[in-house]
Amino acid sequence: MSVAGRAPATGSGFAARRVLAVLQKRNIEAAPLLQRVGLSDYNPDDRQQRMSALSQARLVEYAAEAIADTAFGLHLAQETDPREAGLLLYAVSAGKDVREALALFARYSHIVNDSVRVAIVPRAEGATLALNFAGVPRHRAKQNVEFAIAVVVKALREASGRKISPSRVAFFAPADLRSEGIRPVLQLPG
Amino acid sequence: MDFAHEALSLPLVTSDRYLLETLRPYCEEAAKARRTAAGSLRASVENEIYRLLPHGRANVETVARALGVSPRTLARKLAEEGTNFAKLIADLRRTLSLQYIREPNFTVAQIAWLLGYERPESFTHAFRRWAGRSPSQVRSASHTESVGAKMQNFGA
Repeated sequence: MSVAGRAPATGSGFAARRVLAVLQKRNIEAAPLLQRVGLSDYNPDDRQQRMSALSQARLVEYAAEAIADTAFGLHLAQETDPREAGLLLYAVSAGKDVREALALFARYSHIVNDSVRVAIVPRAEGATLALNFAGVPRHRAKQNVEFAIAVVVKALREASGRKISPSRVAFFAPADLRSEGIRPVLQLPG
Repeated sequence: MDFAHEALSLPLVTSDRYLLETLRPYCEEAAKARRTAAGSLRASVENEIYRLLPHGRANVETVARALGVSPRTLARKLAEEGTNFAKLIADLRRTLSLQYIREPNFTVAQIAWLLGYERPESFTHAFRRWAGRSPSQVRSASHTESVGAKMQNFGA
């Protein structure tokens, strides 16, 4: 799909703020990574500041390299409080059940990141939550996608008080662009 | 990411209808602000189409209603951005079909349904037009490439 003439997608910095917190905890200097992705001016304390969704995705990838963690996105999600997503999380959590929570997520997810496209696809055995990051190349999106998936599952678990797991997770990406760790983290069956 | 009916039916302990109805206008406003900030109606229309395609409801009336404009205004604004609704649907279907066809767990019938086609034959016909080959030909070529890449990884 052509993106010519379109303003670049932006995010609220939800993932970036978590990345910076983890880097700080590990005494890894964030400035070179921020500069590398064009976010030198980024101020994590300014909650109103949006950033390029592509830059944020690249920041998560480069942090994974700096930390040498191939499943960084998944591990980052485990350390993340979904409430940091703000308004989106509170709306989703106020839904009646998981089905309504996913529908609210599909409708309002671009408040947090407008590169994310979400669709709920009904199936005979349930439903598929389809996530698509528009304008972010797949090789730059692995950690970001896995972070998003794991945060969604974590938020649903916290809101339901149950150990919800998807029955299946599939990627439109080659096998080397997904983490082996996703199965135990999400407690997928089989 | 698939969820079974049992998981989807689980109630939320945080459920709060009053809170949700209070937050909804703020969410709508924030979502609208994102559309304005993105500066492109086209991106918003694509988001709505993506959401509605599998339900077969991705038509100009439904999308216009979701975006709070009349179908006529939607058409005019898209024209100002140098595009139209039919082209956006066609572009999105083409892009998504090329992603879905590489997912071995999806049958052609499922992909047709995901893309909002009433019959698999209609999807196959459209796919041939876009890719110059049938879905099964592209899928089999993609499988061969993937096996080749794996063999390379193992030094074969």
